[in-house]
Amino acid sequence: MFCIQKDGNSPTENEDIYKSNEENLLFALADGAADAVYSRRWATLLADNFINNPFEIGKTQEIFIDWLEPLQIQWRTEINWGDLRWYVEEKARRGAFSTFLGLRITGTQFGEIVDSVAIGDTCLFIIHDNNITSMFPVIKVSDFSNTTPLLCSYERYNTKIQRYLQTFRANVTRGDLIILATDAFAKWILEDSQGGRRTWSHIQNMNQIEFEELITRLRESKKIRNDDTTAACIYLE
Amino acid sequence: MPYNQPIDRRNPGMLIFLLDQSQSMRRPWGSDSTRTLSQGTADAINHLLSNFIIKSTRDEGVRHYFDIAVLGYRGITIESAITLKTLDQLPISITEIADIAHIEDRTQIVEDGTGGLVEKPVKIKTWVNPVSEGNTPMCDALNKCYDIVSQWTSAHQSSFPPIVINITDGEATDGDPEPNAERIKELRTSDGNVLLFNIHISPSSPKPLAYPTDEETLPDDEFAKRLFRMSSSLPEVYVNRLTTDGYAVGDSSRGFVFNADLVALINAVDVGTQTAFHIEAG
Repeated sequence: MFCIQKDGNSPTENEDIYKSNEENLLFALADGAADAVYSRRWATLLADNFINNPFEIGKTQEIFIDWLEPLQIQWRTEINWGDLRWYVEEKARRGAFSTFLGLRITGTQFGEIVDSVAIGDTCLFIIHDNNITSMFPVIKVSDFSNTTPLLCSYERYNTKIQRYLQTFRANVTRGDLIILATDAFAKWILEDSQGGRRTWSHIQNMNQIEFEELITRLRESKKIRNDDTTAACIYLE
Repeated sequence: MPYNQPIDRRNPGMLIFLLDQSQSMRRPWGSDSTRTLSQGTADAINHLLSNFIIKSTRDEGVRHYFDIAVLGYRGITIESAITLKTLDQLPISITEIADIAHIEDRTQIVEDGTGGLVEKPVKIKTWVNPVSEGNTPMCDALNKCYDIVSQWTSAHQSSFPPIVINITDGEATDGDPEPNAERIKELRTSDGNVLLFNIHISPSSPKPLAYPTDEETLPDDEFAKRLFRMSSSLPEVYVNRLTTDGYAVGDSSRGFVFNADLVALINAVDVGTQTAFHIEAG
């Protein structure tokens, strides 16, 4: 997994959170919203809980709200409200926000199946025979915007969740590559692949330093937005 | 393209209010006889400062995204209108503004969502108090503003240019302010010239005239025409926003509102300050 914070921020201010449970083949990536407080904590709760206490993605619409509720309570109770300055308290009462993408790989007698759930513009790509065969949930460059749906730590701001929650299922085979990416990098992958380039080949064998150098170059040439940037590669061996 | 530099901690923005505090600001505002022009203006600025603080707040506190000054002009003096700060301490960072708020606990009657009303505790934050006495030394205020902005632009060449908002209900009593306004508008950062907005407020609340395109559309009033000429031409980003909001604006529209009531004042302050300031964390 590669991750670099927005230029001008410190690593502790990075609000992209990636978690994996490789034993159970569960993966999650959440992108906390910058214009809120305690979004990193909220994104961490979402990703952590998915890999340790996943819900059945096929029943997302029925059970997601119930899955979310204890996380919202935990987010609220972990805040030491009595010690907050007035401005932090006022902003915290507006809630924290995050995208969320959860992924589960299940082995069957016919091969592996990928199930994913997403809200917002954190994306997955499936690479088969060196070609992108699936993208989820964003499939067009023009669908990336500054107003992506987000999950809020307060139920009252999640009234349209059901409309925005999306699920996805695909078959994968050994040798396939799955990339999870937050919006800036996901958008670049899409743009770059439209030119016939095989972007993922850049990152397949990279280390963190090379990833940081790549993102720095892309930012300088304005090919990628200055944003927290995360890419996680999952190889099916 | 100018006027597109995002705000971050390395490139903070600057916001300056020039506040007419002359005696005429004691007049009641429209039919709401309990609120004077000076009270309504102070309320609008306090509300905006509170919004800017919240906008700049992250987990660790308020980030230094903005430098702020509020200059009051009345009688023969120009003073800081921010309580607890003197004129020579301006501008101050939004981080510091947050920590010098005067906070008063009050209760507000609000709808409870089921058709009833409930009392809700609220914290009222103030930095600017209503003041109204003496004459209108607008020229001096613009001169002092020039000094502050000039120093700031020298030190922040890569930032979005400062936004200056002059709120007044009457003519300058210390000369012709037009040359002073021109000097301010000539100051610039690499992202564009300083933007000077003039908001003329009126106690009688005739229909406000917002963002006119030329002097001929104004009433036959030399004072209004002078404020129009003193105001910056609106950059494209403002024209686009105002067009979307339903205003009849054009490429030659100026940052000027004449005969503003309280609603028009709040709208104009919002347009002036929030249209182009775009915070990027960092």
